[in-house]
Amino acid sequence: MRLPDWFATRFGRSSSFPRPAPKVPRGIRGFPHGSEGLRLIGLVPTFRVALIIRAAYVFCRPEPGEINAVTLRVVIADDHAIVRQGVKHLLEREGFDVVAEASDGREALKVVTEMGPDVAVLDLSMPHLDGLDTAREIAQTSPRTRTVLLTQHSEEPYVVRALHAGIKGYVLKSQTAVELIDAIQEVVRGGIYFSPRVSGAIFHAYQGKKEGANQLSERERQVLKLVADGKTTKEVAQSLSISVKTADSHRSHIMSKLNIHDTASLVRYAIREGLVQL
Amino acid sequence: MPLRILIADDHSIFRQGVKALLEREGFIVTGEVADGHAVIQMAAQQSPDVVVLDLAMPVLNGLDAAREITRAAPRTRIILLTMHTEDPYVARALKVGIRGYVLKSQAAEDLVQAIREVARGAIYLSPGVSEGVVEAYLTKRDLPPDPLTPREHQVLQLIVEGKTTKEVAAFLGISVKTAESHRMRIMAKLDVHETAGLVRYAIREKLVLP
Repeated sequence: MRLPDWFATRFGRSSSFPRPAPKVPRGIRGFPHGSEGLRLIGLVPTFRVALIIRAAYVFCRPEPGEINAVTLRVVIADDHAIVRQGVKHLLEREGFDVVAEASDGREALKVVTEMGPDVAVLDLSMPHLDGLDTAREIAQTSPRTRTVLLTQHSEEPYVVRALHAGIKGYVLKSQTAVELIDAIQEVVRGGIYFSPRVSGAIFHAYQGKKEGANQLSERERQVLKLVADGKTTKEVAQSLSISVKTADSHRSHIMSKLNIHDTASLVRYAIREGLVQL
Repeated sequence: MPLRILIADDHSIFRQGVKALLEREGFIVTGEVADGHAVIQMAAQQSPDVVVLDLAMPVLNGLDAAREITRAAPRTRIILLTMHTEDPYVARALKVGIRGYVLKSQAAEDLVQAIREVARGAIYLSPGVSEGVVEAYLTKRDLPPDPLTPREHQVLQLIVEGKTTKEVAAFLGISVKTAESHRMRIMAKLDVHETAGLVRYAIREKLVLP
């Protein structure tokens, strides 16, 4: 017996997705899948079985329009097909309706504009249009769609840019699917979900904003570049004609702004930002 | 009997996705780990049929982990799952005993096929990379010899991840003095004299992502 799609959607295997309370008694709810149901079949005359199944369908059938309220429509954009398929599978297992996939930002923008999904899950680094620019465009072309960024970067500048781009959910790839699902549900409710691991960055950004300097200053970028080139604090000071003490305080400001605490990570950040060549 | 698979990738969401996709195909996923060190230990314990390894992983990258796995679990086949197509990687991957090379931009079905191929003793190379391998073979370009030993790779990666010499020593279970002498030897071999230079080298050589 093949169950209709909406049945699987509402009563899928996982229980972590909060669904509305079923309108059927427990026995009938479990009936089509479980072994209890099979035992039940042995007890009741055959002609009644069809009736019970029919009754279960009638009881479980959602009101017209109710499916849309329950099943969230999601678009996934990532340039790696395996990643996309994996995320899609995880979301579908939880009852989401993945209406489209896109392999770059431009394609994502196109399908989101056409389909107006509830949520677009966007990878940060994608060809043609990155996740942030895509989110900014989506806010124009499909205002009802909430955007969730899925990324591996947790440093403050990325988080700040995401906030400015109108991103409502910020999930790290090192988090689990449960957290991505939480984020999707939260943004659909009109809330904001940022990974706990970037809360420090948001806090710093907020503090920085009050002083009007949440990004690195031009001087700090110069210092960072020299540090990434392998210069010692003394050499940095010489090359910028500043005192060693000033150079050192620039360096510690940079570290505190970026929430980075060792030289190696500072160098990696500078390389990612294109401040130094390999 | 269904094939037993071990998955190593530092992104949980990705790992869970691959796990779910493989289980749907009837494979048994015996474990999932997040770094290159843990995967060696688990492969040694479980000797799964196939390990699916990410290239860029914390603590130890996929290539160095693969070399250790072939020692610790000789019957386990290894598939590298990566976003890099450049052929130096592929040549290096084959050299350390990797049997399958799949790009993350490929479909899950390709990974499934790769697993089946390597499990029966064959080699699977993504269509995007096999061209580079053939070309490398035809032009007989030899890989430049790697100046660093596997141990030095390990130390280098930990330094690049921001660990102090003391932390490196504690992690690898060696003395601080030994860790320090590894560090000095790496710097001497590479003719690099500061941490920043080591970081740039490791990224250039794709031992770590920036």
